Amino acid sequence: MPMTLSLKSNFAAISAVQLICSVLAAGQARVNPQAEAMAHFSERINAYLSLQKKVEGKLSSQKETKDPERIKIHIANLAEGIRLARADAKAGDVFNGAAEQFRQIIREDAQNRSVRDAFAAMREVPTRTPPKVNADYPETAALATVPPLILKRLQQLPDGVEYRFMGRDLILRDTKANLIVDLLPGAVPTVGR
Amino acid sequence: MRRLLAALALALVAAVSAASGAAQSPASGVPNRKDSLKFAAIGDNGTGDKPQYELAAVMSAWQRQFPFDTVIMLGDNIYGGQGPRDFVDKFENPYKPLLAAGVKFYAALGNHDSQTNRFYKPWNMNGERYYTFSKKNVKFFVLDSDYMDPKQLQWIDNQLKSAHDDWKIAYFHHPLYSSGGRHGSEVDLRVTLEPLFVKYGVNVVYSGHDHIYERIKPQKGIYYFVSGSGGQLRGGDLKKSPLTAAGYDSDQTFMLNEVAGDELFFQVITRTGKTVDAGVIARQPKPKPAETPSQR
Repeated sequence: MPMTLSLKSNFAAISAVQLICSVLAAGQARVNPQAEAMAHFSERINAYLSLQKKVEGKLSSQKETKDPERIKIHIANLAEGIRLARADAKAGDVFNGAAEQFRQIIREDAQNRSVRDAFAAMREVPTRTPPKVNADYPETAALATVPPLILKRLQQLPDGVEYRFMGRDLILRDTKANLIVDLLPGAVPTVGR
Repeated sequence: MRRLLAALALALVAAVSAASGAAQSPASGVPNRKDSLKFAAIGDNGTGDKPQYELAAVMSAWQRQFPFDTVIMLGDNIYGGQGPRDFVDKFENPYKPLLAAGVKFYAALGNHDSQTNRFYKPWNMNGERYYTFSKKNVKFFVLDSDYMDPKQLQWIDNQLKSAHDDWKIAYFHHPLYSSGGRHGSEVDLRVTLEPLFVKYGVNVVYSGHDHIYERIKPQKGIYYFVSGSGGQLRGGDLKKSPLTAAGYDSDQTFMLNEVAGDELFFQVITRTGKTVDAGVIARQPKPKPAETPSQR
């Protein structure tokens, strides 16, 4: 019965297409765009740390010393090496697609704080020097505390980089080279008095 | 039987003093006993200004009669520039007699310290932002309260859990409790750290940041000191509150401490050598281990 055979094969073809479509749809549904953006952010952080390691590998290692001059020279050399290696880096390169998630976490944190608490959290944040990618974090400025409850929610960073606030911007700071790796302008919402 | 009674009496004293919110206050301060652990505490000291030098001179004079071999630094060890000259002017010169006498300094980082100062050998940080060290029957937990990320929290949890020393003393820059007008209590940090301190039986906590001296009434059985006037001073900034057991904000101060068995004596001294607070803390009973399901 050719007709029956043809119908059967058509049904089989349709079922196969349906199966492929449903598998693809299920696959797509499994991709969480926020998680994906954060995964890419982690990849960019790891790429930066590989660069940091490569540059540091060319220097004598930072060890405990009685001579603060040696500590300072190591920091300066590392910073200079990194600056040269990523001379074309610009604001947003690392935060990139994850930027909105960072803004949202900080916004939500601010909403959960009293005005007094929000002011207290930002009181010692340096405001004089606007942050710039590849610039040194100002030596004489305080390293204002990042509230632990925010740190708990932000993507955890490996050793070598950290989050800090400068003015209303969130920055990524290289802890070994004292360098501003990236920045997210206006991440901290304004708080009314 | 006598030992049992003595232990019960000690536990009773600890419970009563914790409940009443006050350490006992003998007039004489540190007793200077043989074989005790003697240490000093300074916070927010690294200005390089005259008051820091004057207070350091008083510390040196005390060290000759009360031979402490350890100084715990509560952060903001170097203000402003962090260059080689700053280390000389703001640390090495003021404390030269103490360093010459072999006194060891153990630093915690404050918000004015560069994190890379952890490589400065005279601060005994082993190149770490947070670390522990032990002296006699005391274990010190030195934290970086400026950046309390989940990794550090996990580390503290593990360290406290595995410590079996008689005394657990934690110190770091930002105070969990403070009546300082400028900063006050760091509530975020308190929410994060206090449950661990309670769970694992931390006895005493020292901090700085507010440029005053304050002894806090015991909170959840733990004694807290704010000692942030080792160089800086914010005169009149102590806004006495229900937290305050004692305090002083009219001159720079440092603390002398002595752990003798189950007692910790403390004495707070100004630039003129005046004692503005003193007392003794009886070691609190260790917390009972958490019940496991099989024990229920």
